[in-house]
Amino acid sequence: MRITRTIRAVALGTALAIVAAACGGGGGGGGGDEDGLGDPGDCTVVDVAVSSEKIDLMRALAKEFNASDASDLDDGCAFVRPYPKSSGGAAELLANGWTGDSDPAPVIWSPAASSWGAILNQRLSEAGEAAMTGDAVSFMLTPLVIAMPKPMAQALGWPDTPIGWRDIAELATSPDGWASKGHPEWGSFKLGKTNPNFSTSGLSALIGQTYAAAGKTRDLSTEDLKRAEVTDFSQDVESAVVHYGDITMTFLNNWFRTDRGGTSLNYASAVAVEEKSVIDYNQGNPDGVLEPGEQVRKPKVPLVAIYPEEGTLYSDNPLYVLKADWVDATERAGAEAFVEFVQLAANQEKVLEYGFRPGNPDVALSSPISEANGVDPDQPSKLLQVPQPAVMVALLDRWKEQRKEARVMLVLDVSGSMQDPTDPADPSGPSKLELAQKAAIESLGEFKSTDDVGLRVFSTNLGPQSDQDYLDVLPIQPMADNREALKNRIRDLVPRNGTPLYTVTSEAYDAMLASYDPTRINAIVLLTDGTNDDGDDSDDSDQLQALLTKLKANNNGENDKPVRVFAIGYGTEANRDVLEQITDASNAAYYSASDPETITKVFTAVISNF
Amino acid sequence: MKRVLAIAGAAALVAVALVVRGVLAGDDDGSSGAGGARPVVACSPGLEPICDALADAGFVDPGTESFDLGSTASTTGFVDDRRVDAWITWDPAGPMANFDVASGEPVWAGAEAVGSSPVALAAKQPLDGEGCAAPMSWTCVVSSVEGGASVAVGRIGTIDGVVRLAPIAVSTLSDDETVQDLDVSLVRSVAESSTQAPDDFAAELRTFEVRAGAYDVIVGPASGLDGVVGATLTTPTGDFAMTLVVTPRVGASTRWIADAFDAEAVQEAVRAAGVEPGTGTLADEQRAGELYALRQEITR
Repeated sequence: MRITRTIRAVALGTALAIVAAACGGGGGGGGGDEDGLGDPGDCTVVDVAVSSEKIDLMRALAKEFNASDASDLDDGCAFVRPYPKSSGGAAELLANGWTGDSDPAPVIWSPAASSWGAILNQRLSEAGEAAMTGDAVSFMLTPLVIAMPKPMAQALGWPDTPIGWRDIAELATSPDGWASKGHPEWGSFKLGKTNPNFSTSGLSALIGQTYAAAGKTRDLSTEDLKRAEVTDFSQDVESAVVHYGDITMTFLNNWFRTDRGGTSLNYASAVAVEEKSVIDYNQGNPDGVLEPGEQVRKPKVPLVAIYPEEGTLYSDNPLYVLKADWVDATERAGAEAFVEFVQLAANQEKVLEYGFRPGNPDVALSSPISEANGVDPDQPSKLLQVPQPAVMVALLDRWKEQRKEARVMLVLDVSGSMQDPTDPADPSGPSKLELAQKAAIESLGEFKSTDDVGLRVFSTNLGPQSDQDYLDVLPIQPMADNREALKNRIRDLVPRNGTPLYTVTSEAYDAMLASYDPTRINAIVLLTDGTNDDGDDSDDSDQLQALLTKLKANNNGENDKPVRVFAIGYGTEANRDVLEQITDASNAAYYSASDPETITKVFTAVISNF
Repeated sequence: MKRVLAIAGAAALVAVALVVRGVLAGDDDGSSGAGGARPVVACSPGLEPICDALADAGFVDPGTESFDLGSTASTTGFVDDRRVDAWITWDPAGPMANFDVASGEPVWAGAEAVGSSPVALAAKQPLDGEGCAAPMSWTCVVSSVEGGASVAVGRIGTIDGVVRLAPIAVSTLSDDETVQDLDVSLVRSVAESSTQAPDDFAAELRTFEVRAGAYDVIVGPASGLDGVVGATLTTPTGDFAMTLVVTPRVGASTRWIADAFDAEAVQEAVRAAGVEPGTGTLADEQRAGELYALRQEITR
């Protein structure tokens, strides 16, 4: 089981498309390549941007559509081609005319929830532009739930006692943590929540907790957001967050991996996810994507879905045929044919297979939406009103200030290989370091002024005596004081010598642990383009094992001081295997920027964890 | 010059021939709308599939419209701008729309009932408030809302919403009270009891079926609610029905209606709207007046 990152999938999809374009010929009919989604032949291509958790399902439906009579148009045929795109990322791109992205501008947009359509229209309206989304078909559903390991849920009274955001806030601020519920062995209460600017689960959870704070189920207003008790409640909930992130799969994969070692209860107590993810997890497929040859294995400690008693929201998976100037009449006709196709009862049965609730009432709810998978088909019992778009935008703005503060050490590789051009065919083009510098500087904007951030660079033979493996360029300080200095120092970096990866990671970790701040997310962002190369490879294996042992010991609950190491593998030479071992050991996540051109996106995704 | 005149004469003959053919064609297809073409119909929101079925079967013009009570159906200018021969809606939308016509000249003629069903409710959990014991009365819905239940009764102000809300509103009145005595806030609390955006019956029924938690109760035609999985159907006491009608425009032909609504595909669409084809009686003028007053009160 490996973390499947959006970025990786996008890169893979793009690569496939390029290969298909290179190999594909003309000819009508389309779909002649292996996966059935590369070569449209003479058909009109209908590009579909979909939220990543349903990409497998959408591809399966697209293949069937493309091969069926349903794709026939009055004049020609339609060829649907889905690709994954995070809901928040797509909303941002659409609001800016879909410029500067490697994926084609979509004809259909299917975010996880229609909240994103409302947010997009609000942003367009504020910019004086026309709405891009209108009424849409909701072709499948899945409610936002709070996933908890079954024993923890039982300790809170599940399934007889309703549980909600108020219980979460209470536990989050309890100085005794789980001891207050008779389980001191579980330590403090730890919550996993994705970043609401990227993730629908994060957005729905934010809306849910805010309604709970306001004591409402409808008509949430911007005035409510300013109320002291609402702000306090939100900060109480956020205080328990282990880290944020762009996708819920990071939490689920980490939970699943720690489950094997029997430490899943120490990693996280609860994570806000879609109901579908609980089903996937309990079926042994935590990220919902089965890699070729991957065997499913049920977890030792299953999850159960808590439907917050204050109410929740559905991810309603709308299919928007966009009112955009790049969508012509034929593309629109093809898009509408596909929208009709996915609603057919036979196709809605597939929706159910993937753990979603069908949008077609002719398809009854049945397995896998069942108690055996930790979910309750009769829940939720209460739904919340989707707030007005302006309120959601205000909510997102306020969250940036209310989220848990971070304490982060940026650890950047300045080894000699970073001076290599990003494109070997263009030696005069930008070097890897130059692109990384640009990306790092841009990502600084994601930190808030009260986050503490420092910069360490590593290579061999650094320092006045040329005997150091790293230099602390800037100590960890509040961004309010460090922001400009960080930009300048990052801009000034130059490539040096070797890559003492293990030494710098180990010592950076020690430093972060020694100055651990329990009120913050404590983390290291490690960027490297290579493998450990400190001039002595005889002890590499021992160094790595020592590092992993230390990370595991400290992150599996022994001292309850988690310091996460988020690693970015930069370029094609980065040692992915080693970096994944490091991130897994610290219950964080690995991010691949094998294509250096993606480094800005990847850096932003990494910073979304804070 | 002769050549020019010959061409002009030929063109005129062609034009006459086209007109004659159009008229004949209109007669041949059995239509009876204005000018002999197929009638143009409009449907209230939620009933569009019936308009589509009529068009697909060739009984009406494919260019059907959707409109409802309020500024559209009651504005002669709107209807005049379009050739609308009949309006497929819930009874008594036509008389209610006529009350609103500024000129006082009715726009809509007497309707024909094409299907009906008693107003009923479906609930996912047993209801236990006042009036909920068998035989259930409509006050049960009000007491359930006071106990926190959410109810789907449509959009207030639309004919769909008015006929679904009417039994509940009337149940709050004592024998000697009229609609003018209505506790509007109480009725509004029922109409606004759900966090979901109100919609027509078809849309709300779909939501009720696929989104657990959206509504505890849905009110609508009994035939449409019959068989909803996981819900109990009850028809509370009182004589309330939802009657589907074809309301012709004043002066428009009604000859096509009987044949059209005998067609199997059209009957299927009528059933899908939640009523039994071929049944129903029309509300009298007093009833229409009461519903008009109800709408005025709750939309004020």
